Amino acid sequence: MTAAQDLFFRVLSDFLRGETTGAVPPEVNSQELAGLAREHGLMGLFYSQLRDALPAGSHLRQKLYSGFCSDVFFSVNRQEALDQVAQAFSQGGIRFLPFKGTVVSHYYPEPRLRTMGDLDLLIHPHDREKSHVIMLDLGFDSMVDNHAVWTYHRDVAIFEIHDHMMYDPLANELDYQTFFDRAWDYAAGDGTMEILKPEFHFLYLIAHSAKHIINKGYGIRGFLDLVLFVRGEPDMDWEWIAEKLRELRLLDFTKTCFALCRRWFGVALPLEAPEVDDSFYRSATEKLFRDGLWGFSNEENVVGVSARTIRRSRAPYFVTSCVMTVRKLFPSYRNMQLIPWYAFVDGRPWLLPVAWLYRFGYCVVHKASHSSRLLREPFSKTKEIREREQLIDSWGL
Amino acid sequence: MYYQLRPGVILTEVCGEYLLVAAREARGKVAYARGLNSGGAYFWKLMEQGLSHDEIVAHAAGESGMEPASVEAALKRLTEALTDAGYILSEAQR
Repeated sequence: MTAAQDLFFRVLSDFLRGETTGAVPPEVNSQELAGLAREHGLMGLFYSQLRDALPAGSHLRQKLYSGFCSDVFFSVNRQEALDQVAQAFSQGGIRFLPFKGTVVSHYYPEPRLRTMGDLDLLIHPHDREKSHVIMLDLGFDSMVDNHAVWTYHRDVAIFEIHDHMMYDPLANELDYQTFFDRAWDYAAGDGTMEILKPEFHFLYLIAHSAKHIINKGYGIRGFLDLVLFVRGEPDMDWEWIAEKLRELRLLDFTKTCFALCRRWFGVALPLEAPEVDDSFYRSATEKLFRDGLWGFSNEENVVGVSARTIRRSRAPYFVTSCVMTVRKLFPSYRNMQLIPWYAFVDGRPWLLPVAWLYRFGYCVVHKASHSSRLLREPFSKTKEIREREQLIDSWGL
Repeated sequence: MYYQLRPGVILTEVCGEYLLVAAREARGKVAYARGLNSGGAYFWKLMEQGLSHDEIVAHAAGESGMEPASVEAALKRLTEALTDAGYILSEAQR
């Protein structure tokens, strides 16, 4: 680990102990430290931890201060938008349930320093059209959707309105969507805004973390969220949680997460777990650093979805790879209707062959080499996919 | 004289730091956020309450025990800087 990475964890440990961090050691590369704080969405938090230790005019202090101001700006504006949407949903009689960052931020000592890209609200499927009209009335633009999430954007606020909390599979054949569709059974509220029971929300946070680890990667902030959430809910029923985690095949993964958090941050957490071995600790920590907040910029993650598909399949590697290739060549109607330039198939599934032909022609003319690389991926990246499967294993997934 | 503050600017305190944050109609018209020291935040709150220039000076001098002339000078420096930056609307902008 570099000196900056060491300090990165020290800052977070101090933060969790409620202490500010002392002097920045001279061997720390301040540009690297600022980069880590930025990539993990922790600029404001780092500023509040380090401001007293940094000289007033130092470059690092200025960079962190700028991130601090930015975090506060987005937070204030997001909160205003959330209040407005919450009021409009309440008036419209729409039951909604905030989750993920919208809720987790309140477990931070200073919620405005917990960054988030969007605000997540769960609604009932039957309120989908009504909520769409309200969002458009409030001046939001509708963005790209999938079958469980509708995204809206206005100025600096992005909302993700879900009618299913969990719609992606993990690396096994379990039906997580159905399990998390029971969220409403674990919620209480005033008839419009509902609050999830913390135990159920914790299960969701774990499943969501697993999804990111399997697919694209995950940053350190997600683990900080887990620690703060667990600490902020000291009365959670851990027997019930452990039972459900076992049912969801996420108990080993949770123990791995907790073991890493203990080692990174020096915190006490429930669920007895053996220490992670040094080699996994090193490789997992290095990968999380390379991933940044969501792993988008880490090239290693391109095989994530292939590895997950191969792992979920009961067929041999070669057969699954062939099926994946055919699916890439001929995407389903359900997937094609969501892509804006093939939206002409929406409601007209018989036009699907035309869309496939158009897509094939476009890819050959405009991005032949990229497309061919994608098609060959399961065959040409066998080693990377196998390594990815091992990584999924080592996390207990 | 009364100060007219730009609508949509929100004074907020985070971890002991004061910031003027651009929200709603203020976005794009002033910097997204600007730091204020505690004295600046104190004056801003009095301006938000709709106190006049003279009332602010009298109020601040009474509370701090400072000479009214020093308070007035500090207030002048702050309001000039905030007017230049667009946080306080000048006569022409009202």
